[in-house]
This record gives sequence, structure tokens and C-alpha cells, in this order.
Amino acid sequence: MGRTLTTFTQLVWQEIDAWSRYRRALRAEDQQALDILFAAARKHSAAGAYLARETPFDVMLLSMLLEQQKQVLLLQQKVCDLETRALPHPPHGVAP
Amino acid sequence: MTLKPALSHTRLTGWLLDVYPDRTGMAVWFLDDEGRRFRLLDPYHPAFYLTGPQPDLLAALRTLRNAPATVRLVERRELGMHDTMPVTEVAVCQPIVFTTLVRSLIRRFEHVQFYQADVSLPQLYFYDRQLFPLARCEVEVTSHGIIQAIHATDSPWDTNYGMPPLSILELSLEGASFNPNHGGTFHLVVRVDRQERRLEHTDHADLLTSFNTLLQRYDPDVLITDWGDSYLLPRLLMLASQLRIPLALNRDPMRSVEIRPPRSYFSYGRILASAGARTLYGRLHIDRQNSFVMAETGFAGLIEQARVTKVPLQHMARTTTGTGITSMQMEHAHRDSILIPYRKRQTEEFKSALELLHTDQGGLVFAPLSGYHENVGELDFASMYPSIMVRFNVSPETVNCSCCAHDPLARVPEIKHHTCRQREGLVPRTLRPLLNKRAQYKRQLAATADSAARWVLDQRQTALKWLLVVSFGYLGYKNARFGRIEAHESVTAYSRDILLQAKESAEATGFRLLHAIVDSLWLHKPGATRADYEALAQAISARTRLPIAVEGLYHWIGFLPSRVNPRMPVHNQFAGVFETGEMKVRGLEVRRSDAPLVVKRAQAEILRCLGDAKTLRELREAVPRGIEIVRAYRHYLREGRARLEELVISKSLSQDPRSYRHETRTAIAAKELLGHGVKLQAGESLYYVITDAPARLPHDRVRAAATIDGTWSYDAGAYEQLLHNAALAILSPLGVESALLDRLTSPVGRVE
Repeated sequence: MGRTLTTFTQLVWQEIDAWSRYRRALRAEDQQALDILFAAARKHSAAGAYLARETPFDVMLLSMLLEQQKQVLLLQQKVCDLETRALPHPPHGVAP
Repeated sequence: MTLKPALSHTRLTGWLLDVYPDRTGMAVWFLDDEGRRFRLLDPYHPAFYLTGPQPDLLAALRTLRNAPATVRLVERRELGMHDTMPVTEVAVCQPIVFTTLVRSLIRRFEHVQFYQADVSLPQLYFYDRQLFPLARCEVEVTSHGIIQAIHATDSPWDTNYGMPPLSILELSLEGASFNPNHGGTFHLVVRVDRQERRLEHTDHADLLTSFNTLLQRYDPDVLITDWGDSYLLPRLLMLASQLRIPLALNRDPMRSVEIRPPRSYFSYGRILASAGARTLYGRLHIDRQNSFVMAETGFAGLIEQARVTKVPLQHMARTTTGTGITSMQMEHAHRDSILIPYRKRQTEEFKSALELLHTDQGGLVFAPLSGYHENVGELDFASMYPSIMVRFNVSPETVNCSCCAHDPLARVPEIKHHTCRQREGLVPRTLRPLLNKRAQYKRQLAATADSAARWVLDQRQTALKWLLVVSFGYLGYKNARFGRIEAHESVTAYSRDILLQAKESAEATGFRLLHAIVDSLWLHKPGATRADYEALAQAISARTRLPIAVEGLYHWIGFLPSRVNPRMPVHNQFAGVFETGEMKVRGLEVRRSDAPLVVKRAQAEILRCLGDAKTLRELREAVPRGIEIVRAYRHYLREGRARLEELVISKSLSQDPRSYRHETRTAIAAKELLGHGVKLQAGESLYYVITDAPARLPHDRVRAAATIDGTWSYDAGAYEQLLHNAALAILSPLGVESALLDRLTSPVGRVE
């Protein structure tokens, strides 16, 4: 039994291929950032396949945003922790 | 001045001075080794070719029956065709009527195709006789000065050629710092034989007589003037005809001075003006103020271009560099029996933005990482576009040839074109010797210590650089005889791929790309030495097989932000200091013709002060001294001490001065000049001073520099603002904000 539908992972690969000239003309540091974005798109292949949307690039963009949002939340938490720790005199009654 | 009858049939050696069509051949001015100037005659019969439907062709030939011409059938090829075709050759026995004859035929027979019909005759003569301007020659002549044989004994490709001992007379105007046509009174100054004399013109007849005496006594080969084309010669000739004193400007007494009217034209989206021309016969007139080549490459560069392109000196001095490159292509075609198409004069159509995006993607530009960087190296591809044309055989007839469509090695990257791998094209054949000769000059330059010799070598290599630069533009230009848009597209596609290859090689070895424009890369790698950059250049050359070299290592370089939006990086606006101490600046006021001298001077001083710094830290420490310079200049301006020459702003007229609809400063100054009866044309430069920028009445805001005399004052605030902007461009990336700069330099805030 052959597979008739392209898998979402394959779609991501196709998309990466379609952006290859764009990627080639980016500076090395920007290429790395782009690769991380497409990796984020691949992370949610299951959700993408399940949605089976006509325009898969929308799904990839949302998956990239989703991973970014997670990063933002994580960094916010870290900044908050560092600020609390850096306070010279922690106010009484508040857990560090 | 023909040969004395005593000199029956003789051989002369010397130099070729001037060539032009005459009644029974070409007049050839010759300077022999004994310092004598001869007007010789070469019985040369220039030819043109025609083909077309039989009835039209026969009708055209019938009209030639009484013309001074001989007709025969010959075989020639069209560019890109393998087979020859029969065409009718018409050789004209009286060169002087060639142009009139051809033009009348072209007008009457629209179905007939003409070839070699509008090539300038001196050029055609040079191609046929394998001569060139100022060639060293041997000539056999009869006692009547008729040339029996002539041949060059040096080659235009020699790099160590001798110069004829030309006698030069210089003519200029004392006190004319701007265009004298805009007003003012001047004295005529003549420089000859290392002496300078001022011709007083209280009496016009005396003036003409003393000028005539000088011309006769020194009999110059070259007349070099300032404003000769638009001002001096027209006025002198007018005086001469009014007073009926014949002016001995021409060496050939049978000819009058050739006049070409001024015109405006479009080039690369800009409007330019050409001041018209006054050219001579047997003597060469060159107007320094009406010559791109003279301004860019000096007299040595002009001669270099004339020699390699075979365009006569007077024409080369006034025409575009493209004419030179076209002439070289025509010579190659002519030599290979390829027909030179008659050029239809059609103006280039305007393209929509989208069309431009698709067809004219151009070279690749990486926006710079804004701000100052230290320890930076710059790598430049040498003559990238011409090198690509030669290396990948890009020419109108080689792109998308029928023989190599399926050869994978013939494919152009990114786009669907391919280039021929069987036959070398016309354009690469033309460019190869130019590239080689320029490389030779650069090698000689590197091995020469004598500054006078270096100066000449540099002017010559710059002259060749300009020819190479425009060679690309002529590939995609509609008016070009041998142009084709697909060839143009192929070159830029190759260039993008090659720049990316260079970037990849650099990044793979740990360099960071700070900035790149088409054929130049600015790279940074902590601790990298010159040897590291040299090694990278070699690796890139090996990979791309195009020559790239280290332009230099910078102590520091600043890529300066946009004036409109400081967050936005712009390319071509930077300042940097090489390890040698030399500065490289682009896009700043010091390099701009529309900035007043006082602003340029202040900016140059700030840059010199920053230029002493060798690291970013030293650069930051130098900032207060830079601010002090701005403060001193603001004081100078505010106290009203600035002189007229320091304040003049030069702007080019973008349209006919009467069609300006808004009261821009340029429009106001133009209207003032028009009111004084000055004739202006689009593309011409205007010179004005800001007198009161916010004034309600437009004519109070600015004044044309040429009309200023007696009492006047300038708008110090407006010039302080220009100074502020020029300083801020350099200082803002170093943390000096606009308000801070203003406060620290304010002439009023610091009274103690």
C-alpha cells in the first residue's frame, strides 16, 4: 500500500527547499535562526497532519510562533527569578 | 602647410595628431620627429553596406549612379550568424559627402537595411588602417603630401608608450569659480611655455589681436580651456565676426570651427546636460569643464582611452564612456567581417517598478550591520562584471545559443539562460585585452616608487576602469548596437551567485559578514591578521576563478544609519580608517557636490580627528574633540565670517527651469538667473546661497551665487543646521544624540 498523501514532515521539507535561495542569501547567524524556526515547525507535525489544512505554511508559521511564545514565557520566568534574587534586601514575608 | 616640393616621395616617422574627412580622402595631421606639422591626405574610400528587397535595393543603387561612389557585391556576416550573406558595398570616393549621402538614402529607402552607415569616419579609418589617435607611425608620402602607405609602429595595447611632444596652450578665466555663463566679469588668462599672461580686454580688437599673435607664435597642437565650449570660444568667435578680425583657432585654414549645440539627456534615471562643443581641425580643443574623462582621469587618462577605443581625442573628451566601448566592439566586428547595424535612435522607455524588479534584479547588497566596528577587512572582486563576461563568455550572440542548450556547464545560475561554450563572443573578445592591460598597469603601479610615474599609471588604469565599468551597462541598453537584455541578466545572476560563494567561504572560516555590495565584502573576525584575509581572498579566487583581492584592513569602520530613520541601515554611507592611515568615505557630505564647502571642511576635520583613533575605545575618547570642532564652526557661521565660496550650494537642474511648480531653492535660484537673461538647460548645475530660509517671499530665501555683489548676508541658522546634520551622521552611532550635540555646541548657551 503506497502512501498517497505527503506527510506533514515532507511538506516542511518542501517548504525548506522552497526557501533555500532566501536562506542562501542570509548571513550565517540569520541562517541559524531560520533553521531553528523550521525545526519548530517540524515539532508539531502531528498537529499539522491532523488539521490537514489546504495551506500548510500557515500551520508552520503558527507552530513557529507557538515555540517562540514558549521561549518568551520561559525567559520571562528566568528574568523574574533573577530580579528577585538580585534584590539587595528581600522584603519580609515573601518567598525568594 | 603641405610638404615642400623638394621633398619628393619621402618617408616620415612621427605621430598621428588628427584625422577628419576631406574631399578626396582623409586629412591626416602628422607631427614628425623633427617637430614639423604636416597636413597629409590619405586617399581613403570609406564604405557602407546595404541589403533588402530587390526592387528597393535597385532603386537605391540607381540613385547612386551619379554619386562619387563605387559599388560591388560582397559577403558579410551578421552577428551571431554562422553563414555569410551577400550585401552591396558602397565605397565613397569623397569622404566629406559620406554622411549626407548615407542620410539621404536612409530617409528615402525605409525598406533597405543599412550597415556601417553611421560609424564616425575617423574611427572607421582607424579600424581599416589599424591606426589610433596619437599612434607612433611610419608614413610614405608623395611630394604633394599624398599618403602612399601608413602604419603604426606601436600598439594601443603597449603600456610603455611614448608621448608625442605636444605643444599645449591653456586658456582660462581668472575669477570664474562657477559657471561663467551665469554672470560675472572675468579676465582671460593664457598659459603657454610655462608662462602665464593675463590678456587685458579694455579694447576687444586688441584682445583678439594679441590672442591671435600667441596662437601664431606658439602654434599649439592642443588648446586646453576652462569653459571653452559654452563660454570662451563662442564669445571669442562672436567678437571676431563682429570686428571682422579672423581668429586663427583652426590649424586647417580651409575649415571653420565645428559647432555642436548643447543638449540634455537621460542616463540611469538622471537628467544630464552636455554643454555643446567647439572643436577644431588640425588642432585639438579640450574643455576641462565639459569633459567627464578629463575630470575623472586627467589628460593621461583621456589619451589612454582614445588610444584603446580609437575614438579621436576631441570626441572622446566630450562623449560618454559608452561611445568608447561601443567603438571597440565595432572594431572587433569590422575586423571579423561582421556587419555593424545602423543604430536607430530610440529613447529608452520607462519601465514600471515591477518590470524593473524582474528584469533588472541587479547585484546583491547586504544591509550593513550599523555602527562602528574595529579590525575589519575589505575584499573586492577586480572588475567583477567584465571579468564575469570574459570568464563565462557572456555576449549578445552567445547567450541562449542553439549549440549549447543541453550542456549543463553552460547554464547560468538561478535563471533559465545559458551561454555558449563553443565560440567566444564579441564582448569577451573586446574586454579581455582591456582587463589584461589594466592588470598590467596595476602591477606596474605596485612596483613604481616615483610619484610622477605613479600619477600617470594611475590615471591610465582609472581610464580603463571606466571603460570596463560601462561595458556592463551597454549589454542591456536598448540603444547599444550590441546589447541584449538576456546577456545583462546573465551577468547579474552570475554576480549574485559569486558574491554568495564568497560569503560562504568567509563564514566557513569564521569571518562575520558586516556588509557586502555587489563585488565588495566587509568582514570581521576577532584577531584576524592580513595573512588571514589574504588566505581567504586566495580561497575565494580559487573557488570562483575570478580575481578578488584584499582592498585593505581597517582600524575601524562605521556604517552610518539613515538620516531619515536612524534604525534603518543604508548602504554606501560609511567612513573608515585603513591601517595605512588612509580614509575611505562614501555618501557623506565631504564627498557630495551639493554640500557647501564650510560643511565639508568641518566634517573632514571631524573625520581627521577621529582618524587618529586605532581602536573603538580610542574612537570614543576622540568624540569630545569632534564636538569641539562643530562648536568652533558654529561660532564661525554665527559671527557672519563665512565667505561666499564656503557657502555656495551646487544643485543640478532636474528639469527645464520654467517648468518647476514648487518654489524649491533650486527653482528660486533658477528663476533669478532667468530674470538676468541667463540661458539654462535641464541637467546643468546651479550655484546658490541660502540668504533667509524661512522668508515669506521666495526670492528672499536664496540667491544665485553669480548675482551676488555688494552687500549681502547669509542665513547662519540654515547653515548651522547643515553642519549639525553632517556632524550627527558621524557622531550619532557613537552615542551623541541630536539634542545633546545641539546643546554642547550652541553658540549662545556658553556665554561665561
